[in-house]
Amino acid sequence: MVSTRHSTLLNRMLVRGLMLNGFLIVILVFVACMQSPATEPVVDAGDEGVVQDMEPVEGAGGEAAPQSDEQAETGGGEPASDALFTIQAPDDLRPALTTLYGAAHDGKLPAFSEQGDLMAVESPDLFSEYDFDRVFYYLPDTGLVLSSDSQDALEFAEFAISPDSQQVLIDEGLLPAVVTVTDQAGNTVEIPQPVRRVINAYGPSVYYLYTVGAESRIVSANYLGAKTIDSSGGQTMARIDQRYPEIVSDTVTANEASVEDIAALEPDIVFTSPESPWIDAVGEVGIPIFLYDAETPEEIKQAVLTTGEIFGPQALARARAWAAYYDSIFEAVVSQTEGIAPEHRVKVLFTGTEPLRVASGDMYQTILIDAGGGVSVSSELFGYWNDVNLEQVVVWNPDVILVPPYGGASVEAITESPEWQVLEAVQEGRVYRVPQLVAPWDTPTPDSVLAVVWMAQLLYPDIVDLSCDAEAEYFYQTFYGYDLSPEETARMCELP
Amino acid sequence: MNLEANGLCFAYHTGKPVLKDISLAVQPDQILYVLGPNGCGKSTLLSCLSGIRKPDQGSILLDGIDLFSIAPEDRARKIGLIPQTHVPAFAYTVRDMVLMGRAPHLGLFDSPRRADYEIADQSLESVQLSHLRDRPYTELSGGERQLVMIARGLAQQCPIMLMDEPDAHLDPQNQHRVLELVAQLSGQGVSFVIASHSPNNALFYADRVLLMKDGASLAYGKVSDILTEPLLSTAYELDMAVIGDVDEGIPVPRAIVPRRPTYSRMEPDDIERLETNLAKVFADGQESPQLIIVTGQSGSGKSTWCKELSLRAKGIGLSIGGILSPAVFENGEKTGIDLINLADGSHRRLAGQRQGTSSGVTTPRWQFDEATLDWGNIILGNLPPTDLVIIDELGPLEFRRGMGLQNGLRVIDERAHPVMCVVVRPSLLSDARKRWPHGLVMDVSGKPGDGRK
Amino acid sequence: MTHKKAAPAAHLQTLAYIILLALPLLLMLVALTLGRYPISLSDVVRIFLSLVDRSFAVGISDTAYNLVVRVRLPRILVALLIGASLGITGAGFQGIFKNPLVDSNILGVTSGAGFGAALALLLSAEPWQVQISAFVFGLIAVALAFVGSRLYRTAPMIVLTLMGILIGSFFMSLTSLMKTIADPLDTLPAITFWLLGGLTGITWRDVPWLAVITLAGSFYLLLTRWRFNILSLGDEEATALGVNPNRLKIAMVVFSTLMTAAAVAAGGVIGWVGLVIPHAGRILVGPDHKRLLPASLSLGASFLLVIDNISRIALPGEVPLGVLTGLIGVPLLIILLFRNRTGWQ
Repeated sequence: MVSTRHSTLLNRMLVRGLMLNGFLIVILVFVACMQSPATEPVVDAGDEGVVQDMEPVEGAGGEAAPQSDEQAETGGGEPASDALFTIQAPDDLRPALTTLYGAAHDGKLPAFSEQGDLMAVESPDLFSEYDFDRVFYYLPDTGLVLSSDSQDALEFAEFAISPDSQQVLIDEGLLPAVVTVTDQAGNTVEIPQPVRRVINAYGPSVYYLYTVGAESRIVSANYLGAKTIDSSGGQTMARIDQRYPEIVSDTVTANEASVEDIAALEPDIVFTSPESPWIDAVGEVGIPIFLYDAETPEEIKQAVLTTGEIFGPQALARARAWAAYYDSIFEAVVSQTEGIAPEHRVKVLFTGTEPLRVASGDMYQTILIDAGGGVSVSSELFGYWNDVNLEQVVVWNPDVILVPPYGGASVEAITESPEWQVLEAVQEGRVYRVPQLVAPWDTPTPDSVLAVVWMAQLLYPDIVDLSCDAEAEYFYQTFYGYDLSPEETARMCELP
Repeated sequence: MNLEANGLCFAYHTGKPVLKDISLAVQPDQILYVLGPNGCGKSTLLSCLSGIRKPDQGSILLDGIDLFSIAPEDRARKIGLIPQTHVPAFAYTVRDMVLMGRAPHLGLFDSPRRADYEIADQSLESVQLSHLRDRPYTELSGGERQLVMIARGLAQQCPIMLMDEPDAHLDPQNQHRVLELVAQLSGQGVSFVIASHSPNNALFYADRVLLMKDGASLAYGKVSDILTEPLLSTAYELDMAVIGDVDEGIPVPRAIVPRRPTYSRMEPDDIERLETNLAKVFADGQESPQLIIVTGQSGSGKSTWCKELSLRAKGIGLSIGGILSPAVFENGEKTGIDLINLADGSHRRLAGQRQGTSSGVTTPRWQFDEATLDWGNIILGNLPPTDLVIIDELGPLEFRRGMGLQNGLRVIDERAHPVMCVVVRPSLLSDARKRWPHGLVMDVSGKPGDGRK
Repeated sequence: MTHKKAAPAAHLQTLAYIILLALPLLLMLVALTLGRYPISLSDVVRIFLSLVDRSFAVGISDTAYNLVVRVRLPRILVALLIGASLGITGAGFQGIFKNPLVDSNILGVTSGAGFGAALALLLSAEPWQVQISAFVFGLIAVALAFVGSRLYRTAPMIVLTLMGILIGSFFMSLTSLMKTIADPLDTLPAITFWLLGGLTGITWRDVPWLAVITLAGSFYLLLTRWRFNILSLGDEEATALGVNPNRLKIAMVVFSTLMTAAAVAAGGVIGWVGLVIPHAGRILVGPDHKRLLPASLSLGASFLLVIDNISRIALPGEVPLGVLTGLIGVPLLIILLFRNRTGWQ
């Protein structure tokens, strides 16, 4: 087991070839930083010294004069010599950082240095080079990388991607005051920036917000798989996000919501699905509405990326990172399974809330099965769920039967039914429940990428070189900031 | 088998009795006709007698046994109801309809057997409809349906049959066919209670008649005692005549018909030939007062005719009283109305053209003079006994609003004068005829040479 | 008396009657050989003979045996029972309501059952709990309509009809409410599917109780079937013919409601059968309930079996029964209404 896990971890790095490179850089940076902790204990004493060292550098940049004037006008009387950490930034990135720093620290000046606690870097894919939680895109394609353990540097970096920071950068003309996007119902939506208060009424889309790191801006949300705090999904969700209990709502949902309730929350934007009956009423109040309607991988990626655009540079960068991960998993499974002849591919039956209710070819579940290298026996059906009879299932003769983790569907309903025993798959116990942490993996949520890993591992354990355990741990750590417990990993990935 | 009812009272809603103290008795072989106008309670009476409704008071006895103490199926073997012709929701065959008469003879879980089918077929034979056996009942004529219903009663094998309006909606031939069958069956021991609003059939087929009015029994007894002009006139609130032959010195009634009210018209030129119709009116007036209702379009010469009449009457020596209201013309335009006391020729201005009326009004509006109306009322209130009284004219003011020359209405109502002539406009003719049905109508509109002068 | 020769139409009706009574059995044998999974006629016959003598099953795969005995047979039986139930109760209700345009849902039983099922599905109940909930709420709906009609004394039948329609609408509103609060991911499709009717999940477990209720109810209705002629004339005439219309109707409504509720609980909402079948029955055997009730029973069973076979065989995915009965039943009804108006006016 252990060896498998290691090999898949490594494999994952290989898949995203860039990442190896990225890790090397991280290690180098880390090593470099190891030297500054030596001076850290004397930060208090050596403050002036460090800053003094920095001053000339800044002066050499030729932009010190206006900053000094401003400093003088502020009349703080304090020289910019008490910065708690240093920033390493090319000259052209310094003005914006100086403004941000001033906004965060009562107009004080930042301390720039050749080797700072923070590095300002212009690059579109810092996430592939650095640890996820050390990258802070405060401007498009421009991010701060936290390269030391300085708590103050971290706080500043977090401020740099906050709505307050966005506001400062908008005032400076560095970020747009209004973002115009097209939602998935084809509407053009103009969204004033920054977005501070969000209502999410559509269950699946709340996880897009987590993926792009915008969960702290939610004021009310409907959670697929965690409708209420009492549900098991709700318990897990409360561990993932401590604000969950206060923001979860089962009254403002895609199906029904009172305009009054929505208006009272003073949202900057409302997310829901095109089926919501109250869209027009909320539009009348003048609140921007964004509609999600994702059933295919392309639509899901588009949903996540557009969500990123709405919440600013950091969110967009996270969205792109997720989309890259999503694509890399699909590509990895395809490349590893493409050698399997169609007649040798595993035939999968995906059942619904009833054993004899199956997924049609138009549904996301079929795409996931295809992505996992299997063949959905019911792909000839169209529309939504279809009722079939057992005889048809016998004709299809699936090798594996999948059961969704919702709607009262259960593996036992199939395995314990005397009628279903006519199927070899049932006789041999190849009936599995699709996992979920909170969101079911077969739904159009970011988590569904794991369904591909899980299915590939389930269908082709000898061919596919991916680990559900490793990917699940990575995915939830990266995109939800949540460390799975061993039990949770086992519950999702361990096959009976 | 005897059916007897005593003091039946029934109300659908308390306080609104439909049957009030009805008593009757039917002996075997008898046909009892229940007569009365629509809504007098005949159908309700039949539904009580058939056991469908329980009367609030009174008793119904079948051979001395309380009808409502008998089990429903036993009762239905003795009393059959032949409803008014109706169309069932489903097109049962004639035979199926007749078979339903076997219901009281069959248990809850039984269906008709061979014997029941034979009885049904025999019943159809009896009403001579065997050829229609497999036809849908809904496609039969009204008379045939009535006969099928009788056949059902026969299949029910009950000695008493109640028939609700068997003669309604049937042409004479079908009425005859149905009622002859009733008479024939009556001769074979079946008694009938027939509700009808047509007294003529009762004249021919009934042994007993119950005459009902407003839910109460007006008269009950033998045909010759009940079907008389006074009783029928009361029952139907209509002047009824019993027309008949005299056979060997005994009057035999043949038909009961409403008497038409005397309604004759006088021709406008009757006034020129006083010796003819008008003379007859004056002659009759000496025995019973006669009324002439003069009508005609505005400007057709009603007042002129009356004036002419008064002159001619004077000419033959009759005394005249009453009033005339001729129009006053100036330069060919009607400008006012006068009121003339016929007794002495005195006159006053009754009405003048209303001043300051809204523009655009084409018909002249008259402003009546209250004092002149009072004057006219006094004249009419103190008429001496004359041969002829003329009242020209009584309008909507008098008929509809209870104002104006009220004494004029009273004079005509009292009929204290041998001949009276009253002028009304055509729109009030129906009011006048309702008030004075015996009046002779005189329409002067068609009079040649009439119109404005 | 002379035995008159029946008209040709009457002979045809008698013939049609005899054929109709045999029809379900014939169709059942045909249906057993039909399915998505190919099993030859001789194999089906041998499977049946093997129930008597094991040796006949030699050489037949377990799959074929299990499909015929465990899957096809119970489903065919349930289709026959539900069709029979809807057909005979439809004819019965049309008779006592004197109205050829009503069916067994006139008193709200189907709407009540639909709500019961939706409620149970919303609470993620087990299939058998959904059935019980549907059955119980079907009875509750009719009981409410009945109690409501007692509030007004003079015209009980009209008020009962009105109450049935009102209670039915009430439960339909409740069902709509259930649908709006149902999870669009899982419970909403479950409710929607249930409301459209279908027999995909039928197993032997469903057969006994449905059979007991349907057969017992049908037995009572068939015993009293001739009385429906008299009830259809109206209360007054029925009373005059020595029949107690109210007692008869209550018993009839109780049995019909039990049967319909059981049918709906087993197969979901399957419309139109109860409306179309009695019409077709009247055209084939005439309006006499003595023949119409057995004919409607047979015809209903045959009709639903054929419809269910289409649903079962035509496409890999099943077309919901309620949809098929509507798609086939409504045009059929229109043809029957306009081509042949025998049976009612």
